[in-house]
Amino acid sequence: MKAFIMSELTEQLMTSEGRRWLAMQYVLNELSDDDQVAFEDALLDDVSLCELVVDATRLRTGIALAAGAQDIRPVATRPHIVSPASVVVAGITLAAVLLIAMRLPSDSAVSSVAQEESATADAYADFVASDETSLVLADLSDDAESLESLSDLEAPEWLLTAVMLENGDIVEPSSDDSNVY
Amino acid sequence: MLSQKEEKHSCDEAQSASAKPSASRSMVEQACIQWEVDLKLFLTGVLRNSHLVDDVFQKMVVKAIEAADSAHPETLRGWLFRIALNESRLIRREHRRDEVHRERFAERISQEAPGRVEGFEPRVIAELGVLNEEMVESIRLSMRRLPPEQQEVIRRRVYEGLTFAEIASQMKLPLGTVLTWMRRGMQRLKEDPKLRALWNE
Repeated sequence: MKAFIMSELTEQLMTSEGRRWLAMQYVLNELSDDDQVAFEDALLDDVSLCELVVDATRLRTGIALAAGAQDIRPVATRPHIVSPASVVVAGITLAAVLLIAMRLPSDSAVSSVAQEESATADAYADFVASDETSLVLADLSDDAESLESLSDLEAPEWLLTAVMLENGDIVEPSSDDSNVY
Repeated sequence: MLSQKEEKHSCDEAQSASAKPSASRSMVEQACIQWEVDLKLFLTGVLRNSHLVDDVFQKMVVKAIEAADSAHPETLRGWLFRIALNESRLIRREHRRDEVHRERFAERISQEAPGRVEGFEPRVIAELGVLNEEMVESIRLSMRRLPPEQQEVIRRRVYEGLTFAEIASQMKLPLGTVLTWMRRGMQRLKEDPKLRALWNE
């Protein structure tokens, strides 16, 4: 076991990152007694390893002092500082979005939706008026419950409106007569 | 009571002393002054007890000046580190003789306040003058730039003095994850260009 530990430590001493980490572990008193002795034996021969111990101690000391001066807490809850530049960028972006939103309803988007709804209403009306409907209804005639449920079926208001508009049955509601529909 | 390796080094130094020009006492004294901060940091790292650093530093300076004949200008820094290490080991052995007292002391210290770990007291270290306010502030800012999880692990280990196993248990994470975050966090701090610039001044 000791031989394994020693060889592992020796292996770590071969790389610069391993040496730095070992130095930090040594300063933090994280090494086992055997490793500590082995590391100190290595220090006797190796000035650069001594320098790493100096660096590690400086860092550890600095962290402890900094933490003492002002508690170092993870930054997740720290207040978010908004720079003036980001406020300007956000303002410009918001203005652009508003501008686009104001231009859109007048043209393509709304009219295409209206066209689509109108087309659907036409197709539905044609279907209801066609022979196919009577055939379907005939097929269903044996099934009283189904027929009953079909009679209960209510067409959506938008559909009825579209059909009536198509047939010229109603006039456009005026602004002061909003209770018509 | 020197170990075999320490004895070997003493012999090597004695043999090589005749071959290379040795450093003078004034040169050694000057080097101790010049590298005082680094030597004290090194002692802090080895001793892990900031209360002992000043005393051991004084002892090592006296010893170094006495043994100036065995030092060589080109290897002076490493030679001083070696003396510092040997002195620290000596002091540690002395302290182990009074193990019970030490444990009681550590227990009392750990109960007094967080951030005081293994006799590692930031306030005392600050008084040693090994770090100035600018460095401490830079480290604090660098810490804030780390991912929150790395900050948390470093804070708990270095400031609160928890072991990695305790941190893993508290954060409900595998030990390997905690070690990785610690390692990465320390790596990033060490590679922080602002900190490096300050240290190299």
